[in-house]
Amino acid sequence: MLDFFQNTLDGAMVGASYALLGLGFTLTFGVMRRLNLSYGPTIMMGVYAGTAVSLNIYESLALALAVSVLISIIVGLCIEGICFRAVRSDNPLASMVSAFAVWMVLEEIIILLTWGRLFPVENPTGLATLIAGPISIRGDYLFLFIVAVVLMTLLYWMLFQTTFGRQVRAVGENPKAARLMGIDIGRVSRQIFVLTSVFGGLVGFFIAASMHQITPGFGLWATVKGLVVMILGGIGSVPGAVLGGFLLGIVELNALWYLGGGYRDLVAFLLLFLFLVVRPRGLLGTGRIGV
Amino acid sequence: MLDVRGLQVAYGQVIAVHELNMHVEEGEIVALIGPNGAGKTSTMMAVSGLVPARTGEIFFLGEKITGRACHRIYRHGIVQVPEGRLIFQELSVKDNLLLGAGPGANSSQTAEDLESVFDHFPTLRERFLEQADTLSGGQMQMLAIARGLMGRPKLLMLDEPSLGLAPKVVNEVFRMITRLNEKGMTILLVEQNVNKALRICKHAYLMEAGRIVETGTGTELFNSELIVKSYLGSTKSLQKKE
Repeated sequence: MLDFFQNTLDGAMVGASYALLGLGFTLTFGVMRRLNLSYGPTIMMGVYAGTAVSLNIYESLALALAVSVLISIIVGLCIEGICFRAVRSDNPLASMVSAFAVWMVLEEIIILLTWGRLFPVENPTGLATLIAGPISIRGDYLFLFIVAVVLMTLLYWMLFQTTFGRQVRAVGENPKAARLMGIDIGRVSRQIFVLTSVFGGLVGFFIAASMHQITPGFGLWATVKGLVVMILGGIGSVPGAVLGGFLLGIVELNALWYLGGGYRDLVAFLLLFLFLVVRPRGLLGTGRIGV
Repeated sequence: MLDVRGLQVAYGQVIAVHELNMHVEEGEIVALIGPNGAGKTSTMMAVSGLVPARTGEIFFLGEKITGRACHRIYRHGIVQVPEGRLIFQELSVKDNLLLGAGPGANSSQTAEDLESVFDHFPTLRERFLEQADTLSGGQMQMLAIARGLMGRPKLLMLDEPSLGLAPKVVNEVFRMITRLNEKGMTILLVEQNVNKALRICKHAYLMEAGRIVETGTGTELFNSELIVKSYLGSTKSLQKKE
């Protein structure tokens, strides 16, 4: 029982970061109605760039984060231009395939520049494990959790309290009506790409830090996690993505403890298939598409 | 105010609007009437920029607006209240109205506009913080018009405002349109309710199969043989009996 509690606590902390990845997919999908498969690789580019600067030029967490976010934004905007703006919206598959192609290009760029080596990412917090009675809390997980919760709170505030958020929700629910209210959908799309790149670059860096490394495979990892979370939570649902993230984290860490490392992803996919069969709308999905 | 010259709208091979000429003067209600599929909505969407014009030109206040993006045309003061209302149902009444104010609205103006909208539609004040999908059909239509008014339109385009509403509510909507016009609002009205539309409009255009087949003042069209025969037959004969 204690083990289960410990796993669940760890899972919730990891799950908070999954939730943010899921939110990245949900928000982009809500506004564009198209899947951005390249979201994970966008984050990978950012984290590699941030780490490279920190390793080779000047060691500073703030600088590494700033570079990570900046590169994520640039890559995100490029993807928006290439895969979404240049590809007309009437064929969602075209955007998905071109985003996949860009993903491959990004991965190749990283492999060419780094000879496929992984980069170590120092755990920036240096926090020791906290011991609270029988429960121990990993310092880096706790830090990741705090960062994720702060970012989610900010995101919620933006979505539900600001004019920008109101526009995002309007475009998500009915793009035609939104256009008639004078909303420039292209502009909102670019803003959403910048926003998701910013929190992706930040949380991605801390995820990589909790793994102590960044590899070219990080893009695949982040895309898969984000997609699974989006489907678990319900496509288009913002609170659903948050819940889905926690659910995935908790299930994964329990599988890791009780079944062993090889089962972590296997159980995660089993959960996904279970949802697709039993509850394809996800936890909070309406079956409708929108934010 | 609005001048449409030789407008053609097409979806792929299908031509929805042929060589359409139309004119709206400031302060008028102009009705675009005709059966389903005549091209009324396509005409309106070409004016608001939702669909591109294949050929022809659209002038608003002397400026050519053909080919501009929807959000740019909106800034000229053309606001379309779409068919089917297209209320943001998952958003609150408040959010709907604030969205209607447009992306560049300043808050003191918006507060003022909210007050004047509440004068027209008192129920919206009562339901201000509720989610829009809790409103009745008639209230949603009122919200759609109110949302359009929040954008301070110079030309308000109403697409089938009476569609799907109970007869009593339809009368209310038409009364509202007349009242707005009396306060100086220029209105382009697309309607299938020919009888009601002709009663309140200054000028009317009758569209069939993408072409304008008859035009004139509301009264002229009300008495025109074509209209009486195809649209008003029963209503008119009823009125004569009365």
